Amino acid sequence: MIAETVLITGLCLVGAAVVAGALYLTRGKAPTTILWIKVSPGILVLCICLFILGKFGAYHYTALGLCVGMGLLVMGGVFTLFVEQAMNPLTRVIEQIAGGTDQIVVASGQLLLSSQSLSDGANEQASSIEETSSSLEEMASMTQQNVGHSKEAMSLVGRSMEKLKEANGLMKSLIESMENTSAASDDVSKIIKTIDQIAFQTNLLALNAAVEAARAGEAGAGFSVVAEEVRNLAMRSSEASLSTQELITDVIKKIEAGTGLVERTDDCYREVAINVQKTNNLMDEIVSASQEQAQGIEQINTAVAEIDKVTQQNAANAEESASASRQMSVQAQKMRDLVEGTAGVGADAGHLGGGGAGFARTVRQAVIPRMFGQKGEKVLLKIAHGK
Amino acid sequence: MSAEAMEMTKETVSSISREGKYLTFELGGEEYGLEILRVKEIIGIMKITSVPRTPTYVKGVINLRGKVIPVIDLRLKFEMEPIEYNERTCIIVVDIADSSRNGLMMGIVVDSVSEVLNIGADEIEDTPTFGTKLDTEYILGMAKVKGNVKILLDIGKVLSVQELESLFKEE
Repeated sequence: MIAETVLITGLCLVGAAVVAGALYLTRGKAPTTILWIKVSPGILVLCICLFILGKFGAYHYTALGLCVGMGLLVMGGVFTLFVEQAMNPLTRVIEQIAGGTDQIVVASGQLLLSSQSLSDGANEQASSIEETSSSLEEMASMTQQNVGHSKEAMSLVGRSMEKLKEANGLMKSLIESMENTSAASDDVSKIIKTIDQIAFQTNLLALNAAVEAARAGEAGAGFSVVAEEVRNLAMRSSEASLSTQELITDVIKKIEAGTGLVERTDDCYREVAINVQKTNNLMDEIVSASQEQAQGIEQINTAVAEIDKVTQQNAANAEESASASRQMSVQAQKMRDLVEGTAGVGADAGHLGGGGAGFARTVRQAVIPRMFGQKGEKVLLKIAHGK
Repeated sequence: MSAEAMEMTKETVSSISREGKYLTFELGGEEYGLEILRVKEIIGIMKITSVPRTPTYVKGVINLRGKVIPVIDLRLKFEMEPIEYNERTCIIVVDIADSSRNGLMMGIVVDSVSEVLNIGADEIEDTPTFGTKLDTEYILGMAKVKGNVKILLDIGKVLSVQELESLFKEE
């Protein structure tokens, strides 16, 4: 009986193979061929079962079993074919999704990199803005210092101007005093002239006396001596008055020179006063310019503070976006894995009749890691392999 | 012999008559001397009333205590450059009387009066002959005093007789 069964099985196998070969040769890898390949094992099993039933004499079940078995087989085959047909586009979509996810993974990696560099840049920018801000503050303080110094210089210039006015008054007094001295010298000169005239007159008188004494002869000898003495005195006073006159002339000349110098000094002072006035004006301008500068710097400072705020925000945003892209990358990776698993399901679904090995692989690759994690997968694999 | 003796006596007399006191004055940087006995008075420069139709050296007349006296400018008379009169300028009133004229007085304008000098006979030399017919009659002699030479004038002969006559006729 076993030999008969084996023979029948062999015959059925050969028959199925012949039919499959003929279908493959004539139709190629068409659904019909696939359907036949998927249905033929069932038919084989059915035939063997029916043969065994026939052998044990249960003939009245044979026709029913044959009909039911054949019907089930054809239904199963058609269903499998249909599922495969239906799964084909889904598989393609999943494949495309897998490609997309790959791209997403790459892109999210790039995004991560660029957002990290953006974050770094923003941080750098923030630090340089801080530096700029501190230099600006320094600049502002310098400008304030400038303003202070300029004001101080202005007050000094004002004091110098006052002193110059005082010096001007003193100069005028000096000139007046010198003029007075000159006038006094003139007066003295007049007096000296009078003395000189008196000396001259005395000289003439002495000479006249000498003449008279000479006329008197011997009697006038003593008188002539007196006359000579008087004349000598007159000469001496004349000489003295002459030298005094010279001295006074000299003094007057010197006073004139002094007056000239004083006038020149006065001119110089006037020029200095003009220059000081100019300096004062320039200082005024410097002060106002410095104040404007200080205001400008303050505005710049405010703007920089805003820039700083924005940059800080940018840095934070970049950080967030970096972490988001990191998460995205992880998620994309996961998605890719998932899609790969799904694609496996799709492909295996098309090969349900192939013994479910593909399905098992799908379960191992896609489902188990999500349900039990990497460790659970390994444990399960060990159990599956009987270790 | 007697003639010689007379000559000697004359010379001695002239020498003796030349020694004595002189009033010295300055004129054009040179010193001149006048016999003191000729000098009546020395006065400072004063207003001179000019007289028309007189020679240029005649400056005019002055009123000396009521007496009108003619004044001549010795510079102009000696043909020197005239100068502006100043406070040193003096008028020396001299007596030009001689045997023919009595009590005639004349003022002479000089640059300045110096002093009264006693000049000894040995200090006086005769006027050198200049080898020409130069009229040196009005020069009494040359006095050598302290290394300088002073020209001693015979004031009575400075103006010629004619000049004097014309001058005093005018008056």
